[in-house]
Amino acid sequence: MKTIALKCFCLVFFLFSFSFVSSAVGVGVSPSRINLEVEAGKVQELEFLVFNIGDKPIDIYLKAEGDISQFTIVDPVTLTIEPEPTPHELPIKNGKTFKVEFVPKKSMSGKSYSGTIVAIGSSGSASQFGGNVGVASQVNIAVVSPVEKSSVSASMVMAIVAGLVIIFLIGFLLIKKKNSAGKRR
Amino acid sequence: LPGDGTAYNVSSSLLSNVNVDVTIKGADLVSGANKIGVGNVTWASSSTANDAGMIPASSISLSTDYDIGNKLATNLAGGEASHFRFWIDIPSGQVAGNYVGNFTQLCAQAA
Repeated sequence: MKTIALKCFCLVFFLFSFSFVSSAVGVGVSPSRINLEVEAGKVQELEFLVFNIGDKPIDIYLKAEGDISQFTIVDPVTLTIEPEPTPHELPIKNGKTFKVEFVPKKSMSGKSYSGTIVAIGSSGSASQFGGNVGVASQVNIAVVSPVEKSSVSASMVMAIVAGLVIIFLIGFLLIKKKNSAGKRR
Repeated sequence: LPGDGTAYNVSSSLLSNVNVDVTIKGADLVSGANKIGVGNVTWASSSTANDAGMIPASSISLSTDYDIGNKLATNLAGGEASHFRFWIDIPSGQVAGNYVGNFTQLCAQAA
């Protein structure tokens, strides 16, 4: 089961202004929160849209933090992203997509893991400080065992078959009743 | 900083359709083999640029992990800003040099 906070942009606009030097660094990511159910031993791939609302191109890197980091692969790790044209408006024009794979091992089944996918951009040399700014997408993953998945599937199949049998029996009885009524006439 | 105000602020873009919390962490300032521990850097924040409460006595030390107990901004809506100041305490006897460090501010959807 996958729940995505649709169109949830989580942005931070970081403004440095000091004497003659002024620089704005801003990073956004979408979605801002996601809840997933992943089968142990399988790969779940997701895409994160990352964009730059600062005033200069910046290198933005993505990494996983928290419990999920042990089974999360980010590709690519770093991209240079051009700033969004001003005034900022949707849809995002210069954003880039990072692919993130969640690959929980079979031994991880039956547990829930939480963490963040963090996109960090650096203010670079334009700033007085060697500061970074980032946004985090919150990720909650429930790792389920293949057995659970298959047992769910099996029970669903059983329910469908039972339903079909009932419909068939009702139809059969109705036809039989109709035929016997016709014979009486 | 010049004057009584602070020109540093972090703001949530109007594009954002969720409220956000902002946390901060830092790294040691290093000059060759010498360093100034990140805990010597302190910060304070306020929703008001010239808040009189942003003074060293009420400041919070930077740490190497995001300080979720002391958020730089809480439940910041799109278009809202949080202003902040930094201070650094240089230990006596610190070797002179050009020390470089960094801090990272991270925003995430508010709980």
